[in-house]
Amino acid sequence: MALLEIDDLHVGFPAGGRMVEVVRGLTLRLDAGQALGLVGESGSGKSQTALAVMSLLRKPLRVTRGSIRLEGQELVGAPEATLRHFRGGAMSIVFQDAMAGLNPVFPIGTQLMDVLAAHRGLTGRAARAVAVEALEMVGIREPAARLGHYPHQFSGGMRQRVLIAMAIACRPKLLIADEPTTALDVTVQAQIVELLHELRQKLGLALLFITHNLDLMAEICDRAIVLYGGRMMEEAPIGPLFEAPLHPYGRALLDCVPRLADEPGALHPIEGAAPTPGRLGEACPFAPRCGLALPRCAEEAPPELAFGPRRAACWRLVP
Amino acid sequence: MAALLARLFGSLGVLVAVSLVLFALIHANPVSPARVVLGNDASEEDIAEFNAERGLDRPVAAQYLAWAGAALRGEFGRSLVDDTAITRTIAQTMPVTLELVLWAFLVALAVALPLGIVSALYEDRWVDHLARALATIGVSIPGFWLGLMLIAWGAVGLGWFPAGGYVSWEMGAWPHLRAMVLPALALGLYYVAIISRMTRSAMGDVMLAEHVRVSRAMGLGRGRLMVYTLRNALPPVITVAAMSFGYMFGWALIVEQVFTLPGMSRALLNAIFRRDYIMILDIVLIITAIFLLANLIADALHRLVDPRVAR
Repeated sequence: MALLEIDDLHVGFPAGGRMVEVVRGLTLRLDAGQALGLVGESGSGKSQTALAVMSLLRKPLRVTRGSIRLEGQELVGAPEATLRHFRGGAMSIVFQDAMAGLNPVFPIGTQLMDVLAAHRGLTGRAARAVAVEALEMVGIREPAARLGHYPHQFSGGMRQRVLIAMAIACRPKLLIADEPTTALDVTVQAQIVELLHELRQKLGLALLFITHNLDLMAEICDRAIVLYGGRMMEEAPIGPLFEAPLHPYGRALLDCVPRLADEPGALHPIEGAAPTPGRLGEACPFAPRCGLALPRCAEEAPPELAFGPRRAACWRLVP
Repeated sequence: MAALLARLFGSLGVLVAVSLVLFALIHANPVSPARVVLGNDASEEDIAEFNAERGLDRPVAAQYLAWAGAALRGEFGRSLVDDTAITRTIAQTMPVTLELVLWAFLVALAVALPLGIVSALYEDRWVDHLARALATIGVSIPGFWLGLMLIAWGAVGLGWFPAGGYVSWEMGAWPHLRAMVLPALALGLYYVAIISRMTRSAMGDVMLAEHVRVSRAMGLGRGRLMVYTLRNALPPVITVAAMSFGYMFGWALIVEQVFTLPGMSRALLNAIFRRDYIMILDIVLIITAIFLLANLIADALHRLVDPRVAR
């Protein structure tokens, strides 16, 4: 049994009498200690998938179909008390907006120790010791002195470290990182990715790493799922994915990344715009922008095909 | 602390400015107190004598300095009309008004804060709709009419409370408090509406903040989440509460009339009718000072709640 099992997940919101879906039938497995990347453009449904796993979807968004299981325990429709027990306990999340992620009117020590009190029943000196240890682990200097400081006394990168400390303080088995570096300086980005990598090895975390930055993903993940228009396009180990993507969208996405060997000024964007949720029919969502589209692509969703450890959904791959 | 001291000095400056403006306005008024006291038949000599006795013949600047110097020593001067000590009149009437406002303020906070919090937590549920209806009614009903309705209901109908009048503490705590119930409700309801709406909207805003989502993602319990949210929502509520406290002194004058309470309203109205300028000046300044003090306290509380302001 995998640590995280998602089957046929649909996330949507009602609008004009029907459901507009932003995640449409996603299936994935994540084993303990593994790192899986979820990659895609804005609106591909990657963040909503993360929020669905945490049961933190903001109304009117909700899971309309499918199943999410952590260690075999169903999370979709689970009572709030059960979810509260899992959140910050067995599964945890780090969000994109580190600047706004900490409560501005409480010292970070209080915020850290409240998480410890909620899940491990630690209070007073014991909680303090664990909080110091957690801050140390994420690379905050003089952690004991920093406990009494307020968020505005930390830089963006340091705040993200504090948020990571909160996320790992109760030793989760699954850590979701939802674009944890997007809002940070490039130099800080690399440090945070390095930190996540380190923590993963030290604590045996399984990591669900959500990003639109392929290079960052390659540094930290073993495997990646490429999402587009709420659907899985392709899943593959990082090496094969970068060497030879099976799906035209995966190919196009890799071509977008500028390389030093490129001609100066040469960029290869994907022509067209990302799809609008609700405008998507049953067709392959990438068909309108795909250079290799067949007539069939605009009519019918391609089946998910397995190729050893890889999966892809494209009519071009159907024999 | 330094910032708070600066605010204190700023408030004193406002107080001086208000007294100057009031003084100037008073002396721009064509009706002199001498005319009011002595009547239209009084001769010019009588009026000159009246003015000389009370120092009204001196230049305005000299009058102001004399008044201000006395006020600094806690001497508010004497009534131009009946020559009573204004300090004594204020000492007699001020505690009644202050008590009325304090009760009304406590009632307003005790009802508004829980109501605002609950309606934010249960947005668009029946509690929220009920609170919104109450708030609309609360801001729409004029205080004097509400006072009359409360008298009709609580005093005439049920007979639980006296219809008006003041019962001093010496007559016993219970009779005293019972006489304050209806006036406090009549004065407080409007501010229940104002403060509960502000609490609800501030809570609603904070509940959408990223850090609250993080707190939920960390599995914090309801109680902790509530504390985390509320402390962030407090600053605007504190500001509105402090302003309400100041405004209440204005509306208290009307409520005192409806419930025949011997507060500052009677002294102020008498002073206005009789052109007793120094009395008007003193009472208005005291209300201004209370308003400024309320805002200073709000500022200090704000600093206490939000560490970012403290620096």
